[in-house]
Amino acid sequence: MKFKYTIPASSDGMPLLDSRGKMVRRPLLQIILKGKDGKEINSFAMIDSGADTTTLNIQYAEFLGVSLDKSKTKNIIGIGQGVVSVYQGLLPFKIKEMDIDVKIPAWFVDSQNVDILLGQEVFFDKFKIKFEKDHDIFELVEVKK
Amino acid sequence: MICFFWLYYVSIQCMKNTKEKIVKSPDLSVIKKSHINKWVVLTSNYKRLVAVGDTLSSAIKNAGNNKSKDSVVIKVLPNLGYAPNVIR
Repeated sequence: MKFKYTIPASSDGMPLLDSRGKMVRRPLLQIILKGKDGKEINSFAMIDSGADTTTLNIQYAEFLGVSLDKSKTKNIIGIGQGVVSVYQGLLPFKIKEMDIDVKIPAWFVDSQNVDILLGQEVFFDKFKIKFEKDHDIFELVEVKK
Repeated sequence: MICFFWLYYVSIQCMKNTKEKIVKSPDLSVIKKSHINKWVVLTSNYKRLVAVGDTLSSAIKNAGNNKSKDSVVIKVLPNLGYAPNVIR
């Protein structure tokens, strides 16, 4: 399925521009998260081919009922200043438009700069992902095994 | 005659299959700079802000009965460029 790139939020009529003066657009995917109490929320996840593993804000852990075990922490770089500690867990979600359930390893991080970043581990094995930036489109095709 | 209709039917089916659906991008312009670093709940069509909170749980709580099954929750990030491995 093909998706249009999205202009990020909070621009207030002053969109984020790249070095050529063009509006920044990102590959955002609408996903559905199922909470520990059975309630669902819709959210957006950015597909990040530069991230090793999916990384999401630590506040989702409580909603999902993921227990943050201090023995399962890991240090990463790329978010915030220098080395940042993350909790390892699992992220189950549904891709709304494709109606496909996915469960992938994830790192939960306490950062103001992270919502949900879909990284390579498992997710990029489950889907063929084609970025067609020149057409303002990205495509996801489920890998059938 | 039957052959003609069969060819017509097949060509119509092929055209349907090639016209692939492209999911539109959401218009998130309802989210303003004042929402940066906060959590917002939007209606499913992204046109109306239902609630704002400092945390995910407070945003959901503030949405109360105004939140439907299809409401969208977003962590509003600073309006800056994003690049992994860049120290902000």
